[in-house]
Amino acid sequence: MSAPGHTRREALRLFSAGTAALVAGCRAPARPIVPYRDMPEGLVEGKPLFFATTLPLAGAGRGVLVESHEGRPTKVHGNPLHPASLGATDVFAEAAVLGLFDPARSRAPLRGGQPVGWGALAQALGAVAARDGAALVTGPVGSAAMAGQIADLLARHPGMRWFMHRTVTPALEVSGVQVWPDFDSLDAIVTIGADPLGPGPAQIALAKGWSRARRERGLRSHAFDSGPTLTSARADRRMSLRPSALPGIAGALLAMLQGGTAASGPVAEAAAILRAAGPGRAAVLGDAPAASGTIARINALLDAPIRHLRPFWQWPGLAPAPMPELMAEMEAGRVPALVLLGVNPVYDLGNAFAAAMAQVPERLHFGTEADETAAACDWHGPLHHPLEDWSDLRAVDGTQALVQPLIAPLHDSRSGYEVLAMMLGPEPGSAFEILRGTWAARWGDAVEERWRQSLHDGVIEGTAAEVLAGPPDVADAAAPLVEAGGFELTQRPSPSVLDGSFAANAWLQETPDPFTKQVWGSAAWLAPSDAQALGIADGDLVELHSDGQGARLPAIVVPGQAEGCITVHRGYGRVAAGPIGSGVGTRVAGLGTTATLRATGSRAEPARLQADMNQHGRNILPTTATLAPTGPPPPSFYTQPRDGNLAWGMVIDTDACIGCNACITACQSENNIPVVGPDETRRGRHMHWMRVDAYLMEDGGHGFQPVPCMHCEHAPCEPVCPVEASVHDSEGLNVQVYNRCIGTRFCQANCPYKVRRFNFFDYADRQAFENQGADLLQALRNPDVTVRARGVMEKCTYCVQRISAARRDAKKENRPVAEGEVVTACQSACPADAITFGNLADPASAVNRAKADPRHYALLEDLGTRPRTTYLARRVPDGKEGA
Amino acid sequence: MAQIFRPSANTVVRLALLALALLPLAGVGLAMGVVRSEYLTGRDRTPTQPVPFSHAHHTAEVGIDCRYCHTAVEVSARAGIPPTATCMTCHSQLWTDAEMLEPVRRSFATGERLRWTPVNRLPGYVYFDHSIHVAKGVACTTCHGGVGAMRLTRQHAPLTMGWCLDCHRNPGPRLSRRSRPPVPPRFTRS
Repeated sequence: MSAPGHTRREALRLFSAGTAALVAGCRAPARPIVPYRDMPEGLVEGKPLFFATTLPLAGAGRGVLVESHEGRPTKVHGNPLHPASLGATDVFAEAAVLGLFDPARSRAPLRGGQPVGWGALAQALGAVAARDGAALVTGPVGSAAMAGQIADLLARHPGMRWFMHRTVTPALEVSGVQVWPDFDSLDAIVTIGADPLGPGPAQIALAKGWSRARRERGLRSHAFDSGPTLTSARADRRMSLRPSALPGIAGALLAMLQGGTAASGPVAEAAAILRAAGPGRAAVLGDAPAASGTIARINALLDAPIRHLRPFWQWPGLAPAPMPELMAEMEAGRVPALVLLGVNPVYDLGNAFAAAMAQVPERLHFGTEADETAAACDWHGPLHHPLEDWSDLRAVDGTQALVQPLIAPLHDSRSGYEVLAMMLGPEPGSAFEILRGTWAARWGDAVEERWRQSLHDGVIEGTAAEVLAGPPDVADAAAPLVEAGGFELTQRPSPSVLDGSFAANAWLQETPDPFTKQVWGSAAWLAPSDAQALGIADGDLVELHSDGQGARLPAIVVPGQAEGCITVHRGYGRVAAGPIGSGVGTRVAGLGTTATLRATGSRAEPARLQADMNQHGRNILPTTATLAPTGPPPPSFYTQPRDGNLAWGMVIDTDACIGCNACITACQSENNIPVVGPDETRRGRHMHWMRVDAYLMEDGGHGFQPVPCMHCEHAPCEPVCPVEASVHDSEGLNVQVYNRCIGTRFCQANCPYKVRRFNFFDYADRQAFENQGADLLQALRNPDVTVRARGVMEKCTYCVQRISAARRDAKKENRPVAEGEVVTACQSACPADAITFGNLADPASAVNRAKADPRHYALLEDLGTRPRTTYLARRVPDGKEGA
Repeated sequence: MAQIFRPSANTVVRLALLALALLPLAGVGLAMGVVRSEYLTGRDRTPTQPVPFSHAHHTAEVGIDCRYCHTAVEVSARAGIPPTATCMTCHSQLWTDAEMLEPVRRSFATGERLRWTPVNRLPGYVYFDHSIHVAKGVACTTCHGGVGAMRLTRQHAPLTMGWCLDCHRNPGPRLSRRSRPPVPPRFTRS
């Protein structure tokens, strides 16, 4: 009787019970409807609300509008009123919502790794603040209220010192001056090392201005760079040379403009476009302190339309001390307590900082994640995500704007203001009161009205940066010495994870590098000639040695990289960035400006979305010089599309596209696109609906081509589908019916543009990469878009949910859908206004005007697919102006 | 040697062959019937609610317009379930001691939210929009039935795709004039 397992009777009983449960369980139990107790102001159930706020990047603000569905922030849009957004976003802004719901965020205060309460932490903070010689370390402070708090703190505790730790400087901020070009009066730009279109807090504003000048007046540009940057990829001519040679270029250019010899070559060509533009219409932009004096002289000579602004982090009467000073103080044992607010110097500065920090008896860290620095501290307190916090932020151009919370704090975190208030004294302060108090003092009686207006608009009216009288009369700083025989090393912030502070964000880890299309990792960029000389191929593991530090990472051969120079990206090799960011790529922050390189003989396999940038003579990305005339449409067996009132089409201007990837992340956020991780990426299973292809152009530079679904009128995916899951709708959309799809993948095989993505696994939920199937992330989903299951094909829908919403709105009012009423996610994110979308059936629509452009072409037109998504060719200069 | 099969075996074999052909068809028919059955569509199902709310009383007898509570129906995809505060506009004065309304009063006092059981449920892949249907003249009762006669709210329609298409193939006969209020006029106060 005591045999293990079940008796026959028991087995039968269980079996019948299971069958009964199966029958009864056909209908899942209903999840209850939970109405509000009081309807929140302005809320209509099922309709999103939009709130203006500001997101920080490297300390500076970019204005955004955040879409909130019943209290859940789901999508970040640009704020047209904010000068650092002008309606567009960047990858970091788009990914902020994932950062908010990141399941690996720090959730509770810790002491020695054990959870404690905020009360104990506040007590500890109050005690350390009073100690003589205590040090406060913050990032660049862009908040007026926080600057005021720090001033109060330093006044109350004269023994305290404040240090600023910064890892990323905005483009065009050189030697404490923010250079701000006026694109409305620029016809020619020469950049020497500077990357105004590159990732950073100024990217959107500068890209908006650049592309407007290019579109309206054909802005000419030459770039001198050590390796491909987004700016040099956009330039008409580029020349790559070692970073140590860049200051020399500035000198040569100055000599040329002062009436030097009429030599030929890139410098002469650059001088020619500057001269051709005329005085007050051209500028030279640089970022090397070694050349800043020379560049200032050139700009004075050109009467360049640039303003010199006070940087966003400088406040009157407040001067943060630099970090090397803190290192020296700590090593000397003169720092009794260290408070680190929102910074991660142990990762950024490496072991040297960690060793110096070990000399400090009391170490307290505050940040959104329990990072490397938190691990080296006794205390850690979680900070609010910017979408949970009250604050104000100054943009790179000086405009101030308020930050308002979109959601109550998800975890037991506090605002940075509250942490400083704990240091200031026993009376607790809430972030809202501190912020409002600061502005109330400034606005006086008008505070209520101005506060509401500022919250509504997302900018504070009448704020702008102080314009400095002129460029500081600086001599060129000494150029760094370069050892012979080694490689020069350029370190750039990663275009995907910046300085590593976004390493825990899976969307950003899966955002490709613009030039190598590498995801989930970093690489050393080598010039083709250097790679050939050393016998190194793509993916070979190499070791860089510099200043006694080493780094081991895969090499990628990048055409356009200067000979004798290696480019590496910061932000990788984090060890405490949660399951997403830890151990991705290699940390290079410890390396100096020169390095020796050694091939290890072993291989790594970088995960790349595109490894071959060669067009193989197919003219996939033509320029105005190589654009083939459009022939007659080839014969076809397809039925002709019906003519309706609506026919959607898209035109992408490859002359405007700067390759910043904002469209990719915007699409990912709008359309609930999951990440797949590095292994699945290597198998070619990435899920991005929008991709940006990079191709080598004839002049040796890179060109970008964003590729969403083409929505072919003669779609090759449709006739091969055995279940009619891939069909056309009456408005010309090639739609995918998920519920019909049985996953044959015939459509994917037959798509010449390779825009279809297949769910090999349940990437969105149960088989998600690492922790991305976490319950918390359900709140992030766009409720208007289906979350696709395993075994289903998906692709770009032209944001059909937005089309459908606009169509319903129009029908309710008995009017046609208006021009500009439907804006796709990629289009609204684009800081270069490269994407036009609209109704082809309306002859006056912007998309029809774009199609009438002589630069218009269709991708792989000879296939006769009649794509609805078409392109405008990149403009190339007509003649030689170097002569 | 005796015959192995008796003559009746022929009949058995014929019947078996017939069954072989018919049984799969019957199976398919049964499956189709089950899927369309009220058991699976939930038609005429009356779920238990935390408060036995009577649409019959509030609409037909008292004469409250549907939109007094379902405020979002003309502008949003969802009709909207009223917040507790809406109930309390009247019930802070009327039936203030009714035991039936205890959960409503508790919700209003404590902020704890009511948890209603959904009556009409659509699959997650259906992006149904109330506002466009109402704007085009589909009355509430066309899909939700005569809630004015429902003491307890039940699901009126099967809510299958076939049922949607029945109307979408020829919506005309089911549309009311757009000027007409969604609640039948005899129930509204003049």
